[in-house]
Amino acid sequence: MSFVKIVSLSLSAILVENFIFVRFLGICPFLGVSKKTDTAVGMSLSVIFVMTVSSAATYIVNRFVLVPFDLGYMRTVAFILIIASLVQFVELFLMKSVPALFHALGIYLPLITTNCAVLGVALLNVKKELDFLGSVINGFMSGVGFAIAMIIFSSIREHLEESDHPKAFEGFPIALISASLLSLAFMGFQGLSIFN
Amino acid sequence: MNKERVAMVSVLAFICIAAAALLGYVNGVTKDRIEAIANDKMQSAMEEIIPGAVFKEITLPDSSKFDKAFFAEDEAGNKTAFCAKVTVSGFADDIVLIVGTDLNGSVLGVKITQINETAGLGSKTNDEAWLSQFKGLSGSINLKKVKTLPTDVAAVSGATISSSAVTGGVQTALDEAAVYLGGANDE
Amino acid sequence: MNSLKQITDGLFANNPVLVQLIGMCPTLATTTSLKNALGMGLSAAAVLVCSNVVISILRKIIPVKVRIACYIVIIAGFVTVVDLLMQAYLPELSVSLGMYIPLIVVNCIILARAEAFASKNGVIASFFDGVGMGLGFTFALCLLAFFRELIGCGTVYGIPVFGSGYEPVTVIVQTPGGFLCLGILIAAFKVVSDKIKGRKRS
Repeated sequence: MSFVKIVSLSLSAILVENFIFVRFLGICPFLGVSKKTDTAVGMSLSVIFVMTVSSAATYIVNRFVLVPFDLGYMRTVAFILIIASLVQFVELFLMKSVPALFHALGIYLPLITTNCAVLGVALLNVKKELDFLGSVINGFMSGVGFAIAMIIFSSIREHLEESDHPKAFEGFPIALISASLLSLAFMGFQGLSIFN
Repeated sequence: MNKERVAMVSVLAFICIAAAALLGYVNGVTKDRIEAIANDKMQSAMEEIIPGAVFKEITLPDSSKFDKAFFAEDEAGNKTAFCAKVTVSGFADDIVLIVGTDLNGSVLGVKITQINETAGLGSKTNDEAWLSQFKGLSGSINLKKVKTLPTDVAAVSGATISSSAVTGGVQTALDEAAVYLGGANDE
Repeated sequence: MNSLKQITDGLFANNPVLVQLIGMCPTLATTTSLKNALGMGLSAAAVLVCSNVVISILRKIIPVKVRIACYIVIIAGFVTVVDLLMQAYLPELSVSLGMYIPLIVVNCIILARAEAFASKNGVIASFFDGVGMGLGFTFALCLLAFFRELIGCGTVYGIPVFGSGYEPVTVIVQTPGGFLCLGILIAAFKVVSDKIKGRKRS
């Protein structure tokens, strides 16, 4: 895979097709966890890790089991099982090795399993017919895009807490409207298809 | 502890096997129909571009950019035209085109069989009027904002990405068709 | 809890999207047209009802430690069935909804109902819970899609409503519009339901 293709894939994953602001994947944790910047950072790092490793694992299972045996219809079940096991493993690992982070993330860690972004990137890798390196890079970079969106957004939300807004819009609604403005900004990246 | 573990594993395994069995069954029931739908779409698109022909599929090399390619033949078995199915990446999702060319490599017609672009913008690339701009073009296609030459293709205003995607697909079809048509013309 | 109340609960008082604030991803992505919203809502509802029923039936034999994994496999199974049936019998809708069909598997609503309700209640109650929440989800999606399609395309279910003079606000059917409309809808829903609660109290 040429360097140019890698850069193109990365830019696409982070900006042009940003998972949150363009593809609408990963919204639940995006809205749920972005209230404080430090939880947002912790969550983002876990998500990047899970997205990267699951991209690798799902690629291998797809390439060597699902496709040769014509088991395409088992893809959803297989992929989500892989992701669930991976998250379980990350949970156990963090609990034993980095208990501080484990406690900080709390309930949000098992919720990574239901994060549309993780299953989404695995399915997208298959759809785009990426090879192993491409899948891993796409997984990692999409995670980075997700992280960037989360972190920008959590700092905005921290400021929003202190600002004046109509009572009806408190909480989610004002967050969604802010997200729409950010999304509008990200639309500017749409023409960025260099090296394609 | 051991009993608990055995219970856990066996219940999970049972559920997985039951799910796999159910899915295997549903897949078996729907598989043919799904494939038939895909083929019908392509077949009717090809027949609209090149009416009255019999289509013979060409085996494509791995390096081919086409999903499928066909030669159109008349009843006598003479090659009359060429048709290719190309998938391109649009703004929102993939766009699947069927491009028909005559034996000299000029476009006979373009039909879109799958498009999921923004309603009112990218979706306008599926309008008959817009696609008819490609008829008769060959060689290098020029996509412009505004048509200056009759051989230009005017992009849909506000849908540059969808327009370039479709134009790119037609260009790919023309470029690779030259390989197969070159062979046909030698006969 | 009687079944009718379960259904009205899911539609209004405890609407998964507008009140519980879960299941956002498909809400934002598939509400670009009323047709898509209806298709997505009903597919998710079908999966929800089926998985609620099966999980309720199996609730006594699924060990606590592997319950999430078991729920996920059951849900994924039904999602794939819906996916295949759609590809075979509703191919246009299947293409429109694209990868959001397999993503029903990670729709927080389905897992949340499995964990919060189906694992603790009988089959009939779980069935109606699925129906109520499923209808609520579909209702929220259709409401959002109605406005987005009307303002963003000038059509309702594909039928032009405003006449050719109308200049559609296309950004509404794109990503920023999704966030914006959902935010406004949630706020509006809260105002309306607060007013109704206030009136009930007095």
